[in-house]
Order: sequence, then C-alpha cells, then structure tokens
Amino acid sequence: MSDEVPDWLPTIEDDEDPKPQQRTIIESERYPMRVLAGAGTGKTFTMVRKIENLIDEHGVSPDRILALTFTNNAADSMREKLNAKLGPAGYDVDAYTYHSICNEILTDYAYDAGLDPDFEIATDAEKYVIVLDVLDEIDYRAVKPNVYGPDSYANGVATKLLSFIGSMKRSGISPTEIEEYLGSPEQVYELDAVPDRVEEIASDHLGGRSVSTVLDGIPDTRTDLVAERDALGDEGLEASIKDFLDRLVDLCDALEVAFEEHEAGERSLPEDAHKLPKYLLGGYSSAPSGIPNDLKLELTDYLRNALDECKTALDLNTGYEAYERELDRRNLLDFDGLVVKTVELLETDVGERLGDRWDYVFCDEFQDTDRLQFDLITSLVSEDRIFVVGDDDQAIYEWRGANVSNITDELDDVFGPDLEDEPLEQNFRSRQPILDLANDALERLADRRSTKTLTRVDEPDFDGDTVAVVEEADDEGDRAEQLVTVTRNLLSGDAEALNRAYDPGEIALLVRNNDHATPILERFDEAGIPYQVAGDLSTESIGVGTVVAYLKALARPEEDDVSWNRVLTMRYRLTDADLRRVNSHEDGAYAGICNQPLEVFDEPDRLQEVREHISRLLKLRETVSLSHLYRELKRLTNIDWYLSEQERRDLAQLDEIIDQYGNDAVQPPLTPQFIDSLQHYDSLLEESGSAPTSQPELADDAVNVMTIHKSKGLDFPVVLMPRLTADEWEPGSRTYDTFESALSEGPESVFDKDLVAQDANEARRILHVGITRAEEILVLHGSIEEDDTDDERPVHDAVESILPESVPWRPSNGHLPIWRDLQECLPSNHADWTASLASTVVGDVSGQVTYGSENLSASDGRDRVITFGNKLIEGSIEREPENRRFSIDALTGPMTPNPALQHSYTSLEAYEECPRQHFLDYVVNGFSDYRENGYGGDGISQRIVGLLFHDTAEIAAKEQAAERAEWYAICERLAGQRRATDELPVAKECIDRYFDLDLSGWEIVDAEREFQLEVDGHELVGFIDAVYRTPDGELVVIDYKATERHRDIDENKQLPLYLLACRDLYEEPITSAGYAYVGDIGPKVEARSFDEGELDSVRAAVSTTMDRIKETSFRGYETGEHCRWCQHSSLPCGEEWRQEDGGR
Amino acid sequence: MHCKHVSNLLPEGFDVTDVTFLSPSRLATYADCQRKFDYEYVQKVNVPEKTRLYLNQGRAYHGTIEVVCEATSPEDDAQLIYDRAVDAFPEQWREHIEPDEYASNAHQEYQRLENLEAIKTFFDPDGGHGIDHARQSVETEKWLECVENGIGLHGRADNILRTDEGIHVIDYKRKLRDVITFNTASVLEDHLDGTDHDPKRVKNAFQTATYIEGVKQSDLYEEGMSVQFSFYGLLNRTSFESTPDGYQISVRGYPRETTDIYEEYYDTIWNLMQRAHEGITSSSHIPDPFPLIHDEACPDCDFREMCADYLAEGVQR
Repeated sequence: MSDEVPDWLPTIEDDEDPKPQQRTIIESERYPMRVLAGAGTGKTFTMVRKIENLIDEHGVSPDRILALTFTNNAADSMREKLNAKLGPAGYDVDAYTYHSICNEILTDYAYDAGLDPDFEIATDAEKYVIVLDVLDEIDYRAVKPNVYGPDSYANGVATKLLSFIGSMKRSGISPTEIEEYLGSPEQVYELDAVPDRVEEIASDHLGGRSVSTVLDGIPDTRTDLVAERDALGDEGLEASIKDFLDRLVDLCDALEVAFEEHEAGERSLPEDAHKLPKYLLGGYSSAPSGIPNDLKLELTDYLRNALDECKTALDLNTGYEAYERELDRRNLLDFDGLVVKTVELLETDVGERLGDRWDYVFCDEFQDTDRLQFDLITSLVSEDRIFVVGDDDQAIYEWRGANVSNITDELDDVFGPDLEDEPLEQNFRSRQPILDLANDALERLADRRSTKTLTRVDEPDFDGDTVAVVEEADDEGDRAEQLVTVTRNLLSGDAEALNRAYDPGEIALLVRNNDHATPILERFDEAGIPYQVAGDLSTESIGVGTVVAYLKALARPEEDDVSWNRVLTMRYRLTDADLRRVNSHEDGAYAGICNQPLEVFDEPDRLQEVREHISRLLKLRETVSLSHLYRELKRLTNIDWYLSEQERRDLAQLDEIIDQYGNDAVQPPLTPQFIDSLQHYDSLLEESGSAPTSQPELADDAVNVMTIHKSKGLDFPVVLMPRLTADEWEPGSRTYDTFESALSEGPESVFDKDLVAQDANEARRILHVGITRAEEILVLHGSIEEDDTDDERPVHDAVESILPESVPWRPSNGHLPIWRDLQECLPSNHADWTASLASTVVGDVSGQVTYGSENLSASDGRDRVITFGNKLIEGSIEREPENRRFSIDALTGPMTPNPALQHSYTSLEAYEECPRQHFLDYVVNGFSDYRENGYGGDGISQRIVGLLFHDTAEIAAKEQAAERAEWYAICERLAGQRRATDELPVAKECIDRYFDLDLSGWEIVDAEREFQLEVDGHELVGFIDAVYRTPDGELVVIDYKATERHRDIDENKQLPLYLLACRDLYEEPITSAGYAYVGDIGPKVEARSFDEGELDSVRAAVSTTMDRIKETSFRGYETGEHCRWCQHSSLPCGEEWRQEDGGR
Repeated sequence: MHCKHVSNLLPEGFDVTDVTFLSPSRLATYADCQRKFDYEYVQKVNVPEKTRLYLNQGRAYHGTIEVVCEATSPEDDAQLIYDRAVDAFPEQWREHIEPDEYASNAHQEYQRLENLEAIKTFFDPDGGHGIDHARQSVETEKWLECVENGIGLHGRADNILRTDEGIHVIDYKRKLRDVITFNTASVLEDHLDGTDHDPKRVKNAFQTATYIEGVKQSDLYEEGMSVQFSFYGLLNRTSFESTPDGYQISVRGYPRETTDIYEEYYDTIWNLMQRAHEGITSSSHIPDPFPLIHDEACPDCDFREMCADYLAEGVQR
C-alpha cells in the first residue's frame, strides 16, 4: 500500500530508563499517591510507566485501570504509548478525558441517570440556538435585553447567558440553588440598598478633620453597622451581607485601636490618615486629597459588585432554567452537563457498582480539574487506589472554573494522612538559568503550597546566552521591530551570543492575550518571517477573508455584492472592466454574474467557471451541513491554490473551527453574522477556544504563535515573551466569581478572600508556564511602569498595617509589577539584548532578493516583479540586455542538505512512467498544477476510502479483531477521527468484500510491516500490508487494493520486491504473494508463487532503474496515458501529450 | 444626478445651464474616500446591511415627528401635541419595525420603550423641545436645492421651523455623539489640507451648508430672515434603572446648532465641497491621500472586504 508511515501508528518513544525520582514513583505500591511534578519533569511519562509497571510486574489486568486526562490528544497519546509498550493489552486500559468518561458512564447507565439512552452531546451551535430560543424567558430587570451589534454573536444578553450557565454548571450550581440563595426579587433589591446605607453611616459619623474627631465618630459608626448587621438573617444572600458587615465592624475596631495609639503617641500615621475611615467605608464619592487614587480600597464597592452579580443572576436564572428544560426536551446534554449528571448518578446505587469497575484510577493535570470533576474522580476510586499527578504552580485555568485546591487541600481532606506525596523536580527540558528564574519568580507566589525547586539533569553543553531581556520601546511599531530583529538574529545564528542558528519552527512567541501578538505578526508579515498562529488567536488574513467572503456570498447571494466582488477579484481574478460589468446589473452582482451574455465580458471563460462553481455550491447549500459545504467549496474552487503559504496556515484554523460543527443534524444558521463570527471564534464561545481540553497543532517550518494558555504541555528551543508590563498583566476580578463562591463554598465565604489577589497569583503561574516552555533561550520583552518605583507610600503602608485579617483586601493586591519582579529574579548570567540582538541584525540574514548583480530588499524586489508584471500586461516589456534572474534566499532558516534519495515501489513506478514526473514528485517536491478537484461528483475521495480500509485492516490485525462488526467499529472510529463520514459507507463496502474472501478466515501473521531493502547500495523502503498463513500452513504476502484499477500479476514488480524484503524479515521462507481486491472490481484474490530466478531478475531490473535515477533531472520525459493523472500536466510536455492524444 | 433644468425656484437672475446637483452625503462620501464613492454611487455595489434596527427606529421617530408636525397648528395646546405624539407612535413603530430583525421579543420591547420615551420627552408638555418644533413647523421632509459658488446641492430637510427671527432647519438624529462642535470644527481645515481625516464632521458641515443655502433659495425664505440650522439628538442621553418589577428607561434629547460653525468656516467648507464636487463630476476615483485614508477610513468602510486598493496593501505585505 502506501510508502508513508501512518501518522497515528504508535511508535516507541521515550524508550529510556526512568530517572531515580521517576523510578521511585513508578515502583511504589503506596496509594493514594499525589505527585506534585514541576514543568518538564516527565510527569506523563512517569504516569504511563507506572501503569505499564502495574500490568507487567503486578499482573493487574489492563481493564481494571482507568486513566484520566484533559485532552483527547493526551488520552490518545497515552493509549498509543501503552500500546507500543504492551501490545494490544495497552488498548485495554481505559484512557479517557474527564468528559469522555462521563459520556461513557452515562451511556452505560442512561436509564439509571434518567436519560434517554439516545441522548447526544450538544454542539456549540446547538447551545447557541437554544440560548436564543430562551431569551424571552429571562426576567429583565438589571440585564438589558440587547442582542445586536456588528458582531451580534459576541455581545449582548445571549453571550451573557451562555457564560453564566457555563460558570454555574462547572461548579455544579443548579437554578434551584440560585433561587434559594437569592430569595425574592424584592428581597434582593432591598438588600441592594445596604452599601448606600453604609456609606451614609460613614458620612454621618466620620467626617471629622483630625484623628481625634474622627476617633470620636468611630463608636457610633460601629453601633450603626452592628444594627445593620443584626437586622439581617442567617441564610442565603442575607448571611453573605451580614458576614461583610461583620468584617466592617472588625475594621472599625482596628481603626479605633490605631487612632487611639496615634493619640497616645504610640503610633505614627500619615498626615491625612483621619480621612481613612470615611474613605474605607465608601463615605467619599472619590478619593479625597491626600488619599492616593491607586489605593482603590473603598470597601463598599466590593459589596456593591457582589450585589450587582446577584441582580444579574436573578435575571439570568430563569433563562438558565429554561435552557436546561430545552436541553432536556431535545434529548441533549452539554459538555458541563455531562459531569453534572454523572456526579448525580454516582450518588445513587450505581455509584457503588461503578466504584468496583476499576481497581486503579490515574489522573493527569489534576490542578485543572473543577469542583465537579473532583467529586466525580473521588467517587470512582476504590480502596483509595488513586494516583494523581499535576502541578499547582501551573494551575492557570482557575479563571474558568478550575479549583486549584483540588490538588492540595481537597485531596488532603478526602484522603487524610494516608495520602503519599512524592515530588518530581528533576527537569529534562530547560537550561538551568531558565529554571533559576522560574524558581525565583515562584517565590513571589502568595500562599504557594509547593516547595518544588526545579533542577536540570543531563544538561548538554551550550555556548550562548540563555536568559535575555529586552527593554521594550515606547512606540508599538518599534516594539514589534525589536522582536523581529531578535527573530532574524535567531534565524541567522551568526551573533556571538548565540549557540546556534534556529529554524522558525523552533521559536515560539507566547503571549498573554491576542492583542499582544497582533502588531508583532504584522511586522513578521512585512519581514517575511513565517509564522503559524495556534488555537484561539485570530488574525486578519487576506486569504481567510476571501474564503469567508465566499461563504458569506453563498449565505446571501442576492444581497452581498461586496463578498461577490471579493471572490471575483481574489479567486477568479476578474479584470476591473469585467467587475464593473458585473456590478452594472440593476439587480446586483449575483444577477450580474448569472444573467448577462458571456460575450459582454473580456474573459468569458472565467465568468463561466464562476457560474458553474456557484450554481453547484448554492444547490449544496440547501442540503448539506456547513462542514460539507465548506469542504466542497474548497475542493471545487481549489481556493487553496490561490493562497500564500502563510494564508494556508491561517486557513487551517478556520478548517478546525468548521470541523467542530461536523455533520450534526442541528446546524448553525448560515447567516453572514455567523460566518463573520467564525473569524473571531474565540469571542463567540470561549469554552471551545480557551479550555484546557484542546491543544494546538504545531508548525515545524514557522514561528509558533499562541497564548501561554495554549502552550501548556509544549516546549520550544526558543521562547519569546512580549509585553511583560504591569499594565498588561494587571489582575482583575472575574464575572460571577463572588456569586460562585457564595454558592459553592457557602454564603459566608464570599468575602473570605480577595479574588483580585487570587487572579494576580494566577497571572504569576501563567508567567511560570511561559518561562518553563523554553529549552535553550528565553527572551523577556517588557518595561517598568512609572508606578513601579520603590518610593515610600505612607498611606498604603498605614492601611496595610491597620486592616484586620478579616478584611482580605490589601492596597497592592490589584497591581502586579511583573517586570520589576522579573528584574529581581534574573539569573546573574542573563544578557541584555536591548542594544544588541534587539536592535541590530548580525551576519547574513536570508530574506534578500538579488536581481542579476543587484541586491534588493524584499519590498523592492516585490515592487520590481510587479513592475515587470504590469509592463507585461501592457505589452511594454522590453528584453533586458543581459540575462538577469531573480533569486530569493528564503527566510526559512539554515538550509539543510536534501536527504539521500530513498526509493519506494511507487516512486520507481512513477520513474518508469516518466522521469520528469518522478523528478518533480520525489526529488524536488515540486509544486502541483492548479487543477479542478480530483474527486468524483459525489465528493467521495477514493484515496481516503483506501486509507480507511488499510488502517482498519491494520488495527484489526493488531487488536486481533476477526469479526466484521469489530472491523466496522474500528472503521467508524477512524472515520470519526478523520471526519471522513462521507467515505465511511464505501469503506464499509470494502470490509464486506473482504469478509467475502476466504483469506478473512486465515491466520494473520503480520500487518503493515515496514521494510528497508538494500539493493546494490540503494535503499528501497515500503510497507507490506499483510502476511497470512493459509490453511495449508504456507505464508503469503497480500497487498490490499481498494481501488478499481486491476494489476497485472505476471509482469508485476511490486510483489516480487515485497518477497525480497521478506527474506530479511521472516525466518520462514515466503514465495507467494498476491492482491486482495476489495474495491468495486472485487471481491477476489489473485496470488501466485514467484521463483528465485524471477525475484533475481526483478532485483536486477530495479537496481538498474535506481542507478538511472541517480542522474535524474527535469529534462527527460515520456508522454503517455499517465499524463492524464500527472500533477504537472500544465508543463509543455502535457500539452504535447494532449496534441498526440487528439486534443483531449 | 445631472440636472439641465434647474428648479424654477432659483432666485431671479440665476442663469445655469448644466449643473450637477449633489447631496451632502454623496459629497461627504467622496471626501471620505474616492474609491468608496465609486463603489457606492457609481458601481452601486450593494452592501448587505448588518442590522436594520437603527434605520427602522429612525424611520419610526422621524415618522412620528412628521405626523405630529403636520397635524399641529401654532396655537395647539401642549398636552394635545403630546397626546398626538403618543397616539401616533405605535402605528409608526408597527409600520417600520421588522420583528424578524430582533432575536427576542424582549429586545424589541426594550427598543420600543426607549423610542417611546424619547418621543414622550421630546413632546413633553412641560418644556419638551418638540412642542415648539411642532407649533413652529412650516414643512417637514422638505426637498431643498440650491446653486451656490458654482455648484449644485440638494437634500431633504427633516423639519423647517418658522421662528420669530426667521427660519430654523432641523435634522433629527439618534445621538449627537461625533457631531461637529465649535471645539472640534478646526478638523475641517485639517481634513482640507490632508493632515487629518474626519468624514463625519465634514458631513455635518456639508449638511449645514446645504440646508442653510437650500432654504435661502427656497420659497420659504424672505429677504432679511435669519437662517439657522441644528442637529437634534432625540436619544442623546438614555438611562436604565432596574427595579424588582422590571427595568425603567428614561431618555433625554437636545439640539446642537451649527450655524455659527458654518459662518466661521465658510471658506474651508466650500473648498472641501468644491473639491469633492469636482472630483465626482470628473470621475476621479483613486484614493488620495491613500495612507491617511487607509488608516482612518478603511477600518470602518463597508467596501473594505472587496476594495482592490485596500487588499493590495495586505497582499503586498
């Protein structure tokens, strides 16, 4: 079959011995165990090895082990690693994501959970549709009913409701609980007046002009506050407010003590200290003179904000209730609902049964679990045999519901002193100076539980800077330019400060948020530095815009002239005159395209092509899913071909988003607004973009650009971190956070902690994650804010010293002086690149264009080409006196020599058909022609069908699956993963034909066996589909054919080559080989035996061919039937063949 | 656009044989970007409207004001005018609002209340500006045209009031945000010399010029009358108050007169109009100055997605 290794095929990596710390954990038999593992310490490796150890050394049955992690990728990778190590037994370990385990359990126990067994998971699109349906159920009091705006999907009450539901469900808070906490609307609004009354009390009693007069007012203030407090009940929202007032009473006491001490000469206070009591209790409308504006401690604001959240929740709760009803009615569960339902189920008898299903539960990335997931996991554990690995220092998803204390206090509470702790601190990733910085910076984390100190082991030699700082320029453009210069230096590698040159794919730009990347990417574009934006960062890509415009035009063909014009210009390259003709039609551009005689246009062929494409696509629009329409759009118009390499990378992101909509029955409305939103997907539904459940695909030929959140779990030789300033990293509070803690931790814990300080801690952990992604070089780019000085701040200090413990807010909590902190933690051997590698490019950096003997900058080179192009169009180009050429030294990093030619049967076959085709496809990897799509009218790819069948056969062999139903299941799984649902039925037909063959009952000895055959100094590689043992005991090599093409078995070279390869692979001789046809021309097997003489003559012939290939070049070619399928038939040779063939 | 037979209403002695009449919108579009004018008015490329909510609301309140002004005599009682407005609004709302444009009934209801409040405040018997507007109105939706400084201008005025001093032309808008003030008017000079780009205020200035000169050349004008022009923002301030039983909206509107700005910047405004007028009549559509237009006009332009001038920048990059 193919010569390529299937990308999903498990390979044994990490085949190295565990290090001592890891070995202790792997071999330990103590449970429950918690491993707090630092970044780059091989935690997943250790966990996988521990599972292997259980199976191999302790005889634990794989299906008694449950392994949980966050991403599908991680679960798949774990399963594959286990499979590579343990063989088919590896597949029997239940490796799930935290969500997929719930799906599994609920499917198995649907009736017990009160669900229809056919329930489905709501897609993002379905959730949005439901939210729109329930908007009229909301009781609008504090929430405005607006749902509109230029991108209506990102704003307004619909998004608010989605976000509210998400926050509540992740903490397992039901509408009923919300209702109980809040009480009636009248009560909530009555309580809403409390902050005003507190402020009045402060105004009434604390307006004195000296410490002594204010001191006199404190007892009355206290009395009034106590009266307010005592009028409140002990339940729900009233209890929360009561608790708040209690803290204010403590504050009064503390203020009284401080002022008395001042009066007694025992304590000094700053000049305007007498204003503090009234200020802290919100008695001033803004900070009075003498009280710094950045103190931001008018405490009634905290209560007011909490009450605002309550009023919002009061309105949205009816929408939440209606949403839940609607999900239920449609037999759907949303992602968060999966966990909610499962936890509910586990509280019933089923819980006990399920507790016995697994003997061991392994959990990865435990710091990212939320409260509900914690409950879920603890209910699945039997006899405390749980193994938890994670890193509290890398907990960066608290902002979307993760409960960091799950990995610390909560585990302690559940398992008590039996919980074993083992550390993993030996790092295999980063150079020590990077780790020193990371370690030091972590010291600043308040309430840090871990005491880990990361230490590098087995550090290779390195001659260059490791930690570099760049003081950022004031101007945005200059700032971006600094990083461009750094990047160019890294690519060139010529600077002395660098150990080596880096490929673009080795460099990562990690940003705190999207805005930080945008200006840099613009400069990367200008400098020709290739980059790939991962995950949820959106960019303005012209190519993506064109594809989106095509979808918009299809959505409203008669109304959207702008999109048609875009498509006609950028894809169909219509001339300005033809565009004007299209637009001249009184009924608009669509009518202008379709309803005018072709003769009126300068280029009627192009118009004809446009008409054919849009008529087919508009027909499809009525019947197929969004993702199907999108696929067809790309296939039919070959729009990819018109995009630059960078644009194709950008488009991959859109592909991914549209893929998520799959082919579900409920499809998003194909409106222009919806399509617009695809370009700004992250703002549409944050859970899809920013959750810990997804991980980006990486580029190896472009700088990888992503948010730090997305980079978790990844590593790069070089990491650039821009915008490290206090302003850009300022912590803030999160929507519904106080409300959420009231309901999940109890009404009296709302004001237990300062949630802004908590966010500042998370920001520090985000910084830690970013730093520890770097292996060799870390570039920190930032600057100090004016406020970050060490000047004395007497008022801040006084407040700090007065505030009692029960008041959690502190003067500096809302400020994170990140650059100042970093400066203080820098290792002594750090470098400052501001005036060196960030301002001057050292050495010969590629990216230059030469034209004859002239050296041109990239943009001058571009202008020169455009000038020539324009002259060509105008017919005014003149022949240059000398034969000058453009040559471009592409910015793709250091050139690596081409690998030695490797041959395969397919490449030899191509050579024999036409040396030029072979040269283009296998030697220089030439650019393919633009061509109409290679698919049949039904949109089914035979290539995909073939791959599905082959891969199914291979997995079936490895899993020893011999039944048709098992093959079906494997094939369905693969088709699901590859989104090849259209091809699935055809692949299943191939399976049916396979099972009609006798060989389906034979013993399968080997499958998808890779070989390397040495033939007279040449290397020939490939894969043998299968080796069977016939009922007579003979071995036979079988190659599956799922296509319609019949192979001549007598003159064939493929099968003899496989038999030659088998000589090295198997001890037992194999002399027979054949084809198993499972496509339309099957089912049949054609096989025969090949004698030694035949094999030797094939060997000799192949050797001669490979000798000839050594001299291969573009020059020689053969024309013939193969030209019809050639990817390069636009060349003159193709034209020659067309003429020979009668102009076909 | 072309008119060979200039209106009979032109003052005596005017001798024009071939004048191109242009509206302030067209001139301002051209002053914003020449290519935009090409797409919008020459090629007439249809832009799908992102939302018609504001357009429809504008029609509803304009319609209500028109009905009230048409029906009102100078001596009508303020309460009667108010009642007339409150009675007229529901029908105007029904006529102009498309319920399908709204994602929910609640949203439509919210906007209905907002507009109704605007009408109620405007026609408040106790000091609402609309009472005088209705009593003094001599014509609504009046088509005005003029030839001045060699160029033809035309446009439809929302309401023309006959005041003690003369004539006051009113243009009703939703809000006055971004409408020209004396403080911001110097931007007209910057726009003219290519150092800044402010098509919104340029448009305000063009409207002011068109309506002031238009009314002077109309049958409503008598020698010696003073002529004023104002924008009026009906929903200029809206406030939202929540209560246990639901929300309450209050709205306040007020005018902004631009007559003085017109007088102060007369030469600049006419230079700007003349330049745009000449460009349009000579079919010159190459954006200039492009760097400024690219930075200031392109980001909000409806044609950006298809504009070859704009896309070429991105493609080159």
